[in-house]
Amino acid sequence: MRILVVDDSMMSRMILMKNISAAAPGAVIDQASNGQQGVDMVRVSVEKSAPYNIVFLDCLMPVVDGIQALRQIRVIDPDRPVVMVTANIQNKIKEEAEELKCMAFLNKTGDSAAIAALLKSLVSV
Amino acid sequence: MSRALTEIEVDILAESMNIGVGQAASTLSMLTSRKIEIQMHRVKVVYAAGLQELLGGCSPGWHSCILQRFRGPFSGEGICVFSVDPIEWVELIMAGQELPVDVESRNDILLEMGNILNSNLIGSVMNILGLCVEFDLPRYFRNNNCSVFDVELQVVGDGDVQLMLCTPIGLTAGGRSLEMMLVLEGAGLQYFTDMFERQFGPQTAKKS
Repeated sequence: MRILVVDDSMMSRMILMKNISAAAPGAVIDQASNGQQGVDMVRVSVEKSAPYNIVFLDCLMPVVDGIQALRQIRVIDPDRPVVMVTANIQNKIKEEAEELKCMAFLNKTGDSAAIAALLKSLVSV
Repeated sequence: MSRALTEIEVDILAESMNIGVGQAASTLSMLTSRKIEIQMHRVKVVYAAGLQELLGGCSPGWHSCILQRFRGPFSGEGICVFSVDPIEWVELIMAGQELPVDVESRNDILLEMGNILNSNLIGSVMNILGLCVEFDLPRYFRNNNCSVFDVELQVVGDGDVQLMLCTPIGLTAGGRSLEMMLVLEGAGLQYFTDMFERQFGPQTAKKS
């Protein structure tokens, strides 16, 4: 399983990757520190025919924010599973993400159970 | 200069802040695997000139703070104030993992913690109001012989700007503590009153 974590915070990337590794041992996890870098990595992965199985995307980031990044990812890869992991819990942000077909909208709590359930559902599809 | 809020205004603001801080505390609890105690103080409206006394009195001897600005139908600021070196919180959050030694990485962790708490608080309040705001990136300030008020004024300017301040809410876990504050500028209070009137009718939100 190939996973991309996009977050400008090292702490949040570490917490997320720790939870992902616990739920999906052996998963290959790449990191991007802003939305533009994340979009570029998704684009390259698609061009190489080795797309990520799932992308975890923060909302508030420099350069390109999470919603803008998700919009660009949908142009590149309309059906790629993308999970928003953000402290920005506003309903309208969630609705916007859902309109862009985000798979789930998680609060930044390091909720390992929610992440494990998501990854499990992905494997079982 | 300040004015007293009506009873219903205090109730609306206090309950909105309760919900917002509850959300932030819940997230902090998940991050630290600790129970978070919440202490809430009274809501006040102050003007720029009254902020100094209020902020100075809230956190005497503060160590550092994280401010995060939001913009939308009205603007404002979420503030996390630490009375001691917040590295104590970093140690809790990163429990079981190697702590970064360089200042930049530690600041990165602090900024993210401030982002999470402020965004949870402000996001919850905006959900109650049915509004949506945009966030700036958080900024970290160490106490450089100035007050939180001085830091805040760097952002809002020192004009005669009306500010509403919900003050302060303490979060503690395992002897560590921080205070969260929410500054709402200009039309902020009006949005709360209007929202309440929409929900419950014009009589209930009338000023006494």
